[in-house]
Amino acid sequence: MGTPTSIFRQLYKNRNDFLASWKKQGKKVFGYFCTYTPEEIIYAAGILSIRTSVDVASTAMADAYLPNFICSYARQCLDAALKDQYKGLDGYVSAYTCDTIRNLLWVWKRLVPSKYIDFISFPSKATDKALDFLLQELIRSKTKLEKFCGKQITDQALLKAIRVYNENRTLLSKVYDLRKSDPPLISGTEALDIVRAATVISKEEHSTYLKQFTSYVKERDNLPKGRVRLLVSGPVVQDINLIETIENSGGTIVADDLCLGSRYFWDTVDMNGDPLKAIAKRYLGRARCPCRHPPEERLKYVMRMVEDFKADGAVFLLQKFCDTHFFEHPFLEEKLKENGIPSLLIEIEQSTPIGAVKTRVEAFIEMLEGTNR
Amino acid sequence: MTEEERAEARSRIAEGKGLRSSREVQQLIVRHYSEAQQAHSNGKLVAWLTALSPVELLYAMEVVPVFPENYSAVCASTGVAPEYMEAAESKGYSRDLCSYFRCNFGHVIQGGGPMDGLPKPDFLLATGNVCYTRVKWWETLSHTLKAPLFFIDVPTAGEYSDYAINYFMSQLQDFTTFLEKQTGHKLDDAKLKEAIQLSDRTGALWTELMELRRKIPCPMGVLDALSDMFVLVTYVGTKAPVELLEKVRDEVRDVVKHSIGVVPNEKYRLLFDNIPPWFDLRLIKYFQSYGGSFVVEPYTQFVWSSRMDPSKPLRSLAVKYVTLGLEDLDRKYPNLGLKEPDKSGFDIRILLNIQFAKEYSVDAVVIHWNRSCKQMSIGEMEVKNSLQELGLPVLVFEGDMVDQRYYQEDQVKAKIDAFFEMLGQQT
Repeated sequence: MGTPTSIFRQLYKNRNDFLASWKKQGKKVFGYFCTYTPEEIIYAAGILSIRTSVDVASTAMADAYLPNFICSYARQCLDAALKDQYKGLDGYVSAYTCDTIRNLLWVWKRLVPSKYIDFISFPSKATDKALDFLLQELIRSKTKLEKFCGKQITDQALLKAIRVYNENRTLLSKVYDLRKSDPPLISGTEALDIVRAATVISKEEHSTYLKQFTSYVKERDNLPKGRVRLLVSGPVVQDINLIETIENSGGTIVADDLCLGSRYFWDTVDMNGDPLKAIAKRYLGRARCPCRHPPEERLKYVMRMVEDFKADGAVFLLQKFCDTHFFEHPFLEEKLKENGIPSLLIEIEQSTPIGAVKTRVEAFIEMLEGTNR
Repeated sequence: MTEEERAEARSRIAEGKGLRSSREVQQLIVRHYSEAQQAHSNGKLVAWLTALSPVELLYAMEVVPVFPENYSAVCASTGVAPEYMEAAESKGYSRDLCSYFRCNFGHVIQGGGPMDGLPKPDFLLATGNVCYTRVKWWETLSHTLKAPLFFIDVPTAGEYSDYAINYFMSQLQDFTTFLEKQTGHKLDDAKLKEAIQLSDRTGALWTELMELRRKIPCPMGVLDALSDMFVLVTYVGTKAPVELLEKVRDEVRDVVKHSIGVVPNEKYRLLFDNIPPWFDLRLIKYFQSYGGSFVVEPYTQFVWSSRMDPSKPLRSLAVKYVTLGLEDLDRKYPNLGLKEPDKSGFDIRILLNIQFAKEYSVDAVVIHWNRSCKQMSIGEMEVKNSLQELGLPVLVFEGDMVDQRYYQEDQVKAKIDAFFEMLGQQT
């Protein structure tokens, strides 16, 4: 399957092969849109959960149902579903993040034949009262899933799920640690290839590849040669070309605040106490996306990333029409600036013109080099 | 109202000028903003609230509420919105963000504005029950105005569970503590009870009025309903909406008795969905010129008819502001199964649209595909499809509630012309 570095890209590209082999064993697969869906519960029911991903730029079929002023991720997902590209999926579990994703599921429910659909009401702040609420909501969701599967989801099954997911998260964190050195041992493109693959295959399989990768990387000699260290921030960026373009423009991405990046795996679940409550706690307190209040919590996370990974500058890759990110951008930009971190905003669409991105990133990097000198 | 006034009101309506009582709203709008301006000199605190926050509690605590969403609509209708939106955009806020927000943020940084502008808030309250856009907006206000923000989290809109109600109630208790700290005085239970009572009375009157609009010809138009709604948003929990709506109700009853329609020669009964373009309400008149009468709009229904139980104030507030009227609607339409767990908020919206179309004898539907309200606009094509399945013609026009740059008046009018031509051929 190629060198250890290209394996993850292959895994993502051939994700339907994995799905087919999984289904062949008579097992079920669920899809999710946002990383706030508590996957451990689905795993404990013996179901694989994958993030609905998209390759195609077209949204022609979805455009008959959705306005053109919502994010292309939502439109692309519905388009893929209407083209039967998610035929293999047995159900969808979504959790409240933004208004677009909430309404997407509701339109989806009416248009895409699915055996199972659940929406988890997810609090937007992380208080003790929010935790009480979320726990009740997870109990409801779990009971609904048990009915669907015709079997109980035991604490033992939840604990096993937590172990499997925690192992994968810890391994991913170790991969990120390889980026703290100068030069970093892996590129940002590789890192994001790895995280992206984690969302479309089983965690056990992904962890096996990760272990091989970590031992391979320690012996490699062609290290990334970027002139500046960058953090990228934004929502879900599935288009790895954008990441590659930034790295081909003279920078190395050493850390991120991305949905399909560090925010997905950064926090682990506590193995002690009631497993469902521990899961609720993890998802409530995890690395925040801007759909969570208050923005200061996300700022802390971004600043910690900048410091731990020694980033010189930040690139915001913001999906057009992603309101929550655009609302927070001026605030984050200002706070980063106050801390001596310049940033660049690039608005992305389903097909972003790469040439224009390259020109802007190059200019930004030259500016950063000027400041560093 | 004297018989003479009634006669005058009837002739006004017959000429297509709308309800006499709606004129009083103008005075209440002026009163609202001047009360807000004078709050500080009267020793009262000012809070900026998202609409559909538990305002009854603020009135009980004698805090003066201000509603930036309403103010953005005022800015749009008075023509100052474009300048404000550009100011917000120049500070890095994307043109794709909600135009209510951009208009309000521009006002905050530039000052000025109609009604002498908004007074600075002592604190902010955001309720997450309608959309998350408003939470981000209020966070931004909190940073810019350096005012403390209290956020009441409502994880999902339109759904109902005991623990969702309990979560809201427990946050209301925290908010009461916050209010007591801000104002320096305790909540007076009797005052809260009175506010809840007045809120209930308002909901009852509104229910009655909305039902009167089912009459043929329709005695009360969308412009009247939208005017009254200003008073419902800002003053619910006080005597003002009760006094106003009693007058409106009397006038409407009288009009019904004389079979007068708010649109002379009512030919088509129309349902309107979404928030209207506030900068061009003359558009409504354009529909009227074709004999089109807006008889029902989901925007003025739902939560505004909420009934409250004064013996359970916090619970009443929670039910009202979490379910946004669903509890009352479920009682009214038990056959629709609105509270069944598998019904999404969107399924409910479609069921109610269908219900309204039947109850109000609707002939055709007009949908505003409003760029600034993603929450309402995302499913709009499914709303359209489900109403078309009933055999109703549907007109969709694209625009924005505040930002005129996304609204092409000539094109919209051409669409309306073609729509009525088609309707004319059908009958």
